[in-house]
Amino acid sequence: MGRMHRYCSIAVAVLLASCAHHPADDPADPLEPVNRAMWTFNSKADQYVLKPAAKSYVAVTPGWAREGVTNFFSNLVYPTTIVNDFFQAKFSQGASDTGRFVVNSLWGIGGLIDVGNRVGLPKHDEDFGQTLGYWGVGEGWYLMIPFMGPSDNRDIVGKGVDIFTAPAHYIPGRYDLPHYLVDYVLNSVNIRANALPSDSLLESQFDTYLFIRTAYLQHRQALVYDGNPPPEDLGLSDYGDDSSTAAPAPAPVVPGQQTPTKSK
Amino acid sequence: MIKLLTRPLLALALAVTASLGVSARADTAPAQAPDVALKTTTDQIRGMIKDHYAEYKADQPKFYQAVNDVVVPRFDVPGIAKAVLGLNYRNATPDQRTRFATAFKDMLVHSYANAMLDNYKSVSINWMPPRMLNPTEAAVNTSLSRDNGQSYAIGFRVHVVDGEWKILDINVENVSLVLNFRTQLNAEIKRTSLDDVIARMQNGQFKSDSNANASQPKAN
Repeated sequence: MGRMHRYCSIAVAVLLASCAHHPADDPADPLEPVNRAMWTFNSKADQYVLKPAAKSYVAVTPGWAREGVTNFFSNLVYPTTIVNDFFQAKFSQGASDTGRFVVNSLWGIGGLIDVGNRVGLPKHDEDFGQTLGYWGVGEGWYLMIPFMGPSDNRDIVGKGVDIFTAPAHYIPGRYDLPHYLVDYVLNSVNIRANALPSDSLLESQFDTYLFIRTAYLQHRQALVYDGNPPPEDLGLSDYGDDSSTAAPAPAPVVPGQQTPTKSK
Repeated sequence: MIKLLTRPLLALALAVTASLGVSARADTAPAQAPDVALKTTTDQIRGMIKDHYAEYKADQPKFYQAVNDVVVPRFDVPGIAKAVLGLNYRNATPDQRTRFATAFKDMLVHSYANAMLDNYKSVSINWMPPRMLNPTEAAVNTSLSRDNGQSYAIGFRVHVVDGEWKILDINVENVSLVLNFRTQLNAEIKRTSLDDVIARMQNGQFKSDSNANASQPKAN
């Protein structure tokens, strides 16, 4: 008992260590050797199990069915977004997302059809990791989790809390092992199937581990800022030879002068 | 988690697709809003693909040439090279800087030209109003929609070079191309050398033989 307690304390201390935001190209990754081993493991699991399964799934299901599956799982966990809207004091977004969940669950046949998007209730992406980030918690260490993929101290805590904001958690008898496995397998295969077209891009990287790490941390940082993160410092003015930078500005842009335009 | 990564990945291909579409037409006036030239070039390369699709499909070098002529001038290639090299830029000789810039540019053209060719029809671009970061730097955000309903956030970071707006970075779902390559390339340079990395980019061999063995000693 006491020992268990002590292990938990150590785990929490490690998880919350170094709560600062690091630039994505120089993150805190003290576990890199372990993370790289986990990444190799995940890649093998993908190569031999997940990817072949995803390919077969694409071969035997029509596109509209896969879209339905994607919508269904997205709607199933949507209360997590709603709860975290409110945790981040985004009240009107919370109201809109509540409406979206109701509309999609009822008129979208349990979430299979994304009706909300068509009636002006767009999808948002919030979770407890983002809530922590919103209130100033840094991402801490980068982590590569077996079978799960990239994460960090902040987001792994967030994932743990997210379990309790997904309604499926509260349906009695629902989360026995067989149900859970069916859910997990279908959801994973479906997500992987949606990702198949990107494989070639991954293959043309110098170091896929670093690519994934940079992409993950930037992506999460952008989500914390709802898509408008502060611009990253590209460091152009840091060192001499400025032939490529900064000449006089062209005509300034008058605010409000331009509206979004559609070009085919 | 896979979704988190792959959406940006796919989008990156599509983005560079749309984005590499920028023109350096001599008749374009330099005094204009940051997004005007971007739109012009995007329309231009898409028009060219539309007119010469079969030709380009059959003759890849010809398409690379078209991209080099029309799209590449819209990018601040030396600026991108500098941002990607980061601290390594300081130690590089002028010759290395030039060779790196050219190799990096060619690598991007070769990587993304085909995605551009294959996807030009299924994509439409929604341009947001540009956001000025400072008088000579701006962010131009777009939303790229595919005909299957998926959409991606694509952003351009542009700045002024010789009175013209040029692309310095592309963000796909807020994942920066420059930061990504900066991380990867600087790690590779540390393990081997700048010349080695340039040579590998030129040969299209991104993965080094020693990739499995990260403790490979530095060559220089």
